[in-house]
Amino acid sequence: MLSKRQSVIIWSFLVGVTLTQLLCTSLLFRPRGTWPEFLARYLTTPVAGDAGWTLAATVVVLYVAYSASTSPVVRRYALRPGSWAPFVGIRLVAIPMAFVTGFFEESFFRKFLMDAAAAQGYGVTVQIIGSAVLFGSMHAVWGVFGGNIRAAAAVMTVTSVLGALLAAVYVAAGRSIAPAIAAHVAINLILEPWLIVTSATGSWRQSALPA
Amino acid sequence: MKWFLAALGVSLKFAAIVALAIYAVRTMHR
Repeated sequence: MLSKRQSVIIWSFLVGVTLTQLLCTSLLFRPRGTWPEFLARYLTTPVAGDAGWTLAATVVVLYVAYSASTSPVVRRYALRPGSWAPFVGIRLVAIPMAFVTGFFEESFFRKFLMDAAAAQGYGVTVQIIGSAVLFGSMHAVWGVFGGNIRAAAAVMTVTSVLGALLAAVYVAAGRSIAPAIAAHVAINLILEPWLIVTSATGSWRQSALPA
Repeated sequence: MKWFLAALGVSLKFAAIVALAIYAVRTMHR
């Protein structure tokens, strides 16, 4: 079970991240017309090909498998709805969070930043590496909240690799953002709130952390 | 309470960095 302090950390992060990224989404987009109209256009321009969707599905499987190998919490709870009863509140709050963060982070770290880099004349490799490193730096805070710098470094490395993979999905999809968003939302729906619980309780597998 | 404020602080810092990045990239594009 979670201590009072751990519960407060987990709840404030889930709610804080969701609200913050909703705010950031409203800063990033100024849609003409309604949001549903904008979303329909945004997610289908250009239409993603099979290569993008296939790579997106592969990334989800790889990342979930990797997370299960490093987090006993993920192994124990993620794919077992029957075990969620003590955590039903954070499990429910993690659902809107999955959609908001998947949509915003892909729109910002992939489409917005990579297209801006492309407009400045940078090649695909630089776009992917830049997007990955920024994405990883932002995620280091998860590790910090376990009070463990080594965990923060590990989380940063792993999420940088994930960022590079999602950036590759964006490129493979012909610069359509839909497959990357779908992959990110799927990863969040499967792995959260369990990754946050792992961070807040400091229960990463020790050998997964850098010495 | 201390942890709630810390989480809030990190969230707001994230929003501030993103707002700055959006502003910077939009300005460069002009």
